[in-house]
Amino acid sequence: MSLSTINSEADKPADRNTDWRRYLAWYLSTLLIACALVAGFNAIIDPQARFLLVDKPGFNQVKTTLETNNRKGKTTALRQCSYDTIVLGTSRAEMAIALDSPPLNDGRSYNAALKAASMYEIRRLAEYAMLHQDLEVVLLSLDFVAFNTQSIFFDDFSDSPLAETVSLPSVVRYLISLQTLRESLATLKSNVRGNALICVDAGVHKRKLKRKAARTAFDTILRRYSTGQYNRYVSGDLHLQHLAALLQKLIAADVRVYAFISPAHVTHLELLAEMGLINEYEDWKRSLVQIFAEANQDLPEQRRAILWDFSGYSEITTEKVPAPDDQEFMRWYSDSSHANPNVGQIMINGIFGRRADDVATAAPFGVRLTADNIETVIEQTRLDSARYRRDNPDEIARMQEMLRNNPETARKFKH
Amino acid sequence: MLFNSDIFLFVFLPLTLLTFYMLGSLGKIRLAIATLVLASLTYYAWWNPAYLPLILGSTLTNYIMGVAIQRRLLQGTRAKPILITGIAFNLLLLGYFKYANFFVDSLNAGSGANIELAPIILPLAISFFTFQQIAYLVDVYQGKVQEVDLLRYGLFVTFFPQLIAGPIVHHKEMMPQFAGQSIGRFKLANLVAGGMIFFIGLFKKVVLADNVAPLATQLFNAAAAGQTIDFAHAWIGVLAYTLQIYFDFSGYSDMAIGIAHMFGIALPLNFNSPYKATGIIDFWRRWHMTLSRFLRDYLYIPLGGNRLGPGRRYANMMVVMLLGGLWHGAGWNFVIWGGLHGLYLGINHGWRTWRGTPASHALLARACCRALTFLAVMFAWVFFRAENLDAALSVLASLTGLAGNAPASLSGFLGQIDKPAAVLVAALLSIALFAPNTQQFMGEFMNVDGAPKYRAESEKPLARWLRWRLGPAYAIGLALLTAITIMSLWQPSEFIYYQF
Repeated sequence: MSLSTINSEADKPADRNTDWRRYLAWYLSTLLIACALVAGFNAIIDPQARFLLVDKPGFNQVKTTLETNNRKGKTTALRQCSYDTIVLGTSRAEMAIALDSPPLNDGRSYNAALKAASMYEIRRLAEYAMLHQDLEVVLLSLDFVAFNTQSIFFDDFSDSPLAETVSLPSVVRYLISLQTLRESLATLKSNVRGNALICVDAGVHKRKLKRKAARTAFDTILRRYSTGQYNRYVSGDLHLQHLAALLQKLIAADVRVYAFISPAHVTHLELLAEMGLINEYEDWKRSLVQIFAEANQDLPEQRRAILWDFSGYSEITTEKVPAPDDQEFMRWYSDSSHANPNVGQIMINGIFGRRADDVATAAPFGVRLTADNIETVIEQTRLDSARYRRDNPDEIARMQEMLRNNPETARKFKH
Repeated sequence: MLFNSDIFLFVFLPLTLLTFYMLGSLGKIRLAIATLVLASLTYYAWWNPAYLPLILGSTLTNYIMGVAIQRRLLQGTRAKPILITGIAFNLLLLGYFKYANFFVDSLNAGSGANIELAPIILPLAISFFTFQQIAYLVDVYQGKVQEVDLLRYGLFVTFFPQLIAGPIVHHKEMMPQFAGQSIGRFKLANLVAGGMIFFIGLFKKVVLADNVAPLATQLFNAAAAGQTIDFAHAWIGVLAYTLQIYFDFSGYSDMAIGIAHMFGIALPLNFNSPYKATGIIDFWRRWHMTLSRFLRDYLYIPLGGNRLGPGRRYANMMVVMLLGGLWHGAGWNFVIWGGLHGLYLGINHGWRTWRGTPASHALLARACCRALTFLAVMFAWVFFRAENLDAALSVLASLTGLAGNAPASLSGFLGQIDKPAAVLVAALLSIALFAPNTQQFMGEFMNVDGAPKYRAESEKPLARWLRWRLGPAYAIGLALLTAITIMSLWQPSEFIYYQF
């Protein structure tokens, strides 16, 4: 072997510690300077809007490389643009509430709903919005999965301004990064050129549907829920308390709250029943009603937070799912969980009491939930479910087979 | 835990180095060695603690077998049954974990049987530590090594820099170092030179291999999905994989050598610019050199090597390469890859027998030999990488224009080329074909014993001009390379050879 440093005991020139120390000093100081320069530049430009040390128009204010439909993008929009109405909730609201029809198409509305958001995240985002906006109206989408006590926040939450604590490793990864450097340069370039406009984005997730069988999209999402959120669902007070606290804050700030339970396709209700979660679901609805009743106590009608339920069995939510080889899009749904903007528009019309001849259905859709009718609504849903199961045995059998064939869900499958 | 993960770079490695040298400086050498064993086992268990008993059991069993063989040899009684038992134990272990599913699937497919076997997860590094210990038992039986120290033997098997993906080390090249006077003695030169080698390897992995990888993935995914592939797309994708696997694996090997160097341990070379090879024989002396050495010493020569006539020689070569292919993975695509290399080697040896071995080649002849070797290796990689045989054949058909995708004109071909991808591939190809390799750059700080052409190649003007020196210019250059590497680090990807 010819390894001078390892094997040789002689004091060769290359072995002299002083030379090595000097070399190491050059090496480390260059490394530190290079990393510090990049980190400093990234911290100042801050393309992902994490520190906001400098927030200067024409320099770095508009974060052009930021994706607009995630936590960082939406907080940036809420900080930099001006709105009086925002939509809060999960991807169900993000996809359905399109803001392109009255009364929400005045450019003063923003869809701040977040993919896979928990109620905790929704509360944090609402509080963040209240810091930066003079809000008048909040449209609040309430989804059962956002109340899963096993879900606190999604991937990009901890890197966004919503996070309550900062993780040092994630800051280091952000600052000492070639990817961030590329984003910083792009941000600087577009700000200097003045062609960066973030406020034109309304925050809506416009999904481009592929011409594949709607059945495939339906089954994929159902399977994902059955092995994911529903499989890990643990009910509890955690997120209900966040909702109660948020309502109090919004009402105290004189913000009008229109909340609604989003209309997933009823296969989701049937899946909850198959997985033994339907009692939790009904209790969750009762809890929502109670929280709204407590928040509205002693308030005049015009300041009360309103709760709608669009999740029951209706012409829309029971839409027939096409056969596997059918390439047609569904009229109301992108997949089993996400209704499309046509449904969103009907919901908005219902909430604001507007006529809508263009996309309205003849059948009733949605009911305003109160302490007086909650038990009737729940009972009606049970009856409707029994009818749906009787009229759609293939759909139920398909779902049972899916649960039985997956080892993750087989243990929860009650049959 | 990957070499390119932050937990390894900023916690595990510094902590292990610190503890090792602190104990060494206090004269507690055995404790320092025990620390390395413990660190190595932690490193292994990090992936899946459930397989820790497997490596411990394998190490202990082989140690006991080794001691028993030594005793029998000393007593003059027959040691061969123990050797055979030991080899069988290792092969059974490897066979069960690596090949049982493959064997059952092949049997079912071939005979129409319906034998069910639950999927067995391949334990990390099993191919490497099994081969290393078979070699150890054979060496003990042949009287080449003697080992009675369990701690040092444990370190020989589990030493974390080379545990997962090699280099496959010989007992005789490691044990003297573990037992030497300098073990545990801190030398700044070892730490710094090892660090340089490590960061060169890390640069190869995260900056070169990981950046070209998406081009290969895109092609082979398209082939697996049965999509039509452009002629230019096929060439760029296959070249990208040819470069990815080289920079990925040689980067890993450099990192392993560099880390070991930081601990004052020299590991053998595993790569010596394989794409500069002028023939397949030459290629296998430069690619995964420690595997070639193992296959030669423990398979080819025991099979009879070239001592039993030309027919047996070619047959032995083919058997060795087929098994070498199978060693890489339990799949027919790996067997075909090995078979192709067996065929290439046969042709290369046949050519030499017919035309003789030239003392030196003219420049043009050498360039042609290099190009031909490179193309042959590149075509074989298609089988190595493809999801299945159909996907491999589809890529090869696209590569040769047999898929009806050959462009009608040069402008048509140029129109198909993705320019940034082509520039990236061309840049990496130039580095692989013309730039000095890590050992030529780091010179005396790497163990070059296993690289026969090292001396001649390292005396070329570019290699001499670039050779590392203990001066500020090199410190600044390597610091910038390190900075780029660290800044590209944050999404660690697995090394290709981890799966073997």
